[in-house]
Amino acid sequence: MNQFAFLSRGLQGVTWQMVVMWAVGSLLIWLAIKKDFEPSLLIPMGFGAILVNLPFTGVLGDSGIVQWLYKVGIGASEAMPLLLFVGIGAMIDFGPLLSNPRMLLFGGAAQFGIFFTVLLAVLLGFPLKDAMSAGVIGAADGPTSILVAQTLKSNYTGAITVAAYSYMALVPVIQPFAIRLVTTKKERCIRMPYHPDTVSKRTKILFPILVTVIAGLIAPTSVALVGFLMFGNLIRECGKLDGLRKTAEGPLTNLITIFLGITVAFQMQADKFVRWDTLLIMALGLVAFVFDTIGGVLFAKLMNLFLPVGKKFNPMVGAAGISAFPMSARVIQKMGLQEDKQNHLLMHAVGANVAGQIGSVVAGGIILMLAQSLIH
Amino acid sequence: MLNFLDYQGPAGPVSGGNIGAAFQLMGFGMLGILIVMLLIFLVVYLMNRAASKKPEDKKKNGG
Repeated sequence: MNQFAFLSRGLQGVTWQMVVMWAVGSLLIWLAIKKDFEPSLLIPMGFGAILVNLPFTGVLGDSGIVQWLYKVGIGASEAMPLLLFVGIGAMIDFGPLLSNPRMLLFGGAAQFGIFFTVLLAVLLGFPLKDAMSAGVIGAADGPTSILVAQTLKSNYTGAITVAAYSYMALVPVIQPFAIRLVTTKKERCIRMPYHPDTVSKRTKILFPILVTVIAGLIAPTSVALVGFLMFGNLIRECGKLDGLRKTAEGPLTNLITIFLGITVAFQMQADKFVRWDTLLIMALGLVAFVFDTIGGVLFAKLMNLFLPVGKKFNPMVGAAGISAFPMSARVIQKMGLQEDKQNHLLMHAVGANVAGQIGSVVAGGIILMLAQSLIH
Repeated sequence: MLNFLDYQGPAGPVSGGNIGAAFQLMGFGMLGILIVMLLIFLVVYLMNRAASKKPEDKKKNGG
């Protein structure tokens, strides 16, 4: 009978933590399929979570494919999240922002939740590098969250990635709640007529170059993030690289997305993931999202103090300054219409939302830069 | 300097130094982001103005 012992070896290697991770993986797949939460990422991540948590799994170890993908694609150079940014840049139309550049300020203000969460995480006893990484969940930007957590060598990269992507899908639930906390019905009913200025082709081409230079000069560590995002956008706007644009926003993004999810699952090994402080990190991510929203709304209300009647912002637009594009803009449009059927805020919210894309990568870069002097 | 703030938190020991660093990060971080966004705003504003002036100039010059 001993000759058949190898058949039960795997079964004997199962731990309760692994079973928990199978449940987590199944939950991610269920959320993706049943609830339509970021399926392109949650399905690979959920499946990866099951794959890396099988006893004696062949995808880990020196010759394991998932470990190799992680080492090469994320560990060595953060290539995967950065390449994904080229695709994202190629998809974004900065037109609504360029025709109404005031929205840029919301892209900055709505990063407040990141820094508030870092403080909260420190007060709970997390080391600074983990606190910073948890805060960046509030960037509502998966690639930036992965990059910052990985660069700071956080112990919670897996939890942070799961939180970043799953909360992004929960924007329609989180944001209305946070917005209603800090606004009155009267404020939510403020109308904002949309009279966009025409944006020249030259402006659209110069924009990605100038943003890269400005961000690079002020926050040099953000240049990889901003640069790749803007490179993708330059491919889109130059009008000469249509084939490359289509490849960047289609096949490149899809290829990276398939492997990014399953690669990130490397960080979801039971011994690293099934810990109660992982739950705390996930809760902190939620706080970051809520306070990002509140930061954007309060900034709009602050600006309204100095603006004449008729030029005031609907404070809900400030909440769209997070990076979750286009979910956040859609939420603001929907909320505006719920309060007043004639109140169309979509284009303003889209402007703030794409500003949030820039704000989040700049925030990531600034955190990495400040981390060099603050973490000893 | 902030050692008097040290205590045991639910996720580990909390040091006053880290609390100070978190406040520093919040201050400099938000300031940095707003400066970058303000600079981009100024650049876009100037580019838009330059672009909108050009057709007017052309009209004035009969072109």
